[in-house]
Amino acid sequence: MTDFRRLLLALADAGVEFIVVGGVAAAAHGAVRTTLDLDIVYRRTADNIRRLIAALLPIHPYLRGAPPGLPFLWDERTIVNGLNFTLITDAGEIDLLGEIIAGGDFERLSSHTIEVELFGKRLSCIALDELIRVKRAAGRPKDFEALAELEKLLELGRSG
Amino acid sequence: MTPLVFPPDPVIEVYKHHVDESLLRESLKRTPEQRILAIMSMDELVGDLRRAIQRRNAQP
Repeated sequence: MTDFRRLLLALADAGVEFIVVGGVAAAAHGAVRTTLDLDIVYRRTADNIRRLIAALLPIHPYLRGAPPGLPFLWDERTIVNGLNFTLITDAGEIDLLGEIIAGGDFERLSSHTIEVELFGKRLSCIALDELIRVKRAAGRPKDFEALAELEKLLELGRSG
Repeated sequence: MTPLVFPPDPVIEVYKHHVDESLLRESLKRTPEQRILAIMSMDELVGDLRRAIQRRNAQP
């Protein structure tokens, strides 16, 4: 089980600039579907990458699904040379996304967020209509059920 | 920021018939933090059930 609280606090306490997307964002908006991992879009500046490294280092990030013993260095070079990382940590599963399909990178997405109060922190979360837009654009069959739920939530919100 | 308006997608409209609106209404009464804690509790329950089934299946 992924401890979303622990992961979010690790990132927030280290001052990482990030936006919550994916299933946890959907849950924050009211979706009741479970999710296995925390998805975030992180800002790819040198300072933020350093904060990201420091935030996750104590919980031992490793490539999810990779065979044990594979050389994997959790350092700035790894992050700079890559973009999106699916990781397993002591606190569970986290996907670090430099950008998302149709949503773009942190800078583009940051104008489509809301602030939510989670575990004593004010965190950026992708707005519900933007979450629907990017999921629609991705066009993945596995998202159809989630999209139906998100669009219902949007309708409920607009109808008051 | 102007809210986006989505043209109905026929596939998603079919899926919408299966969404339990009462669950969503209950969820919307909670805070975002409570909603996330709720899905963590559900994950924990599913994990407990899975382990219990594995233990049972492992018995001769």
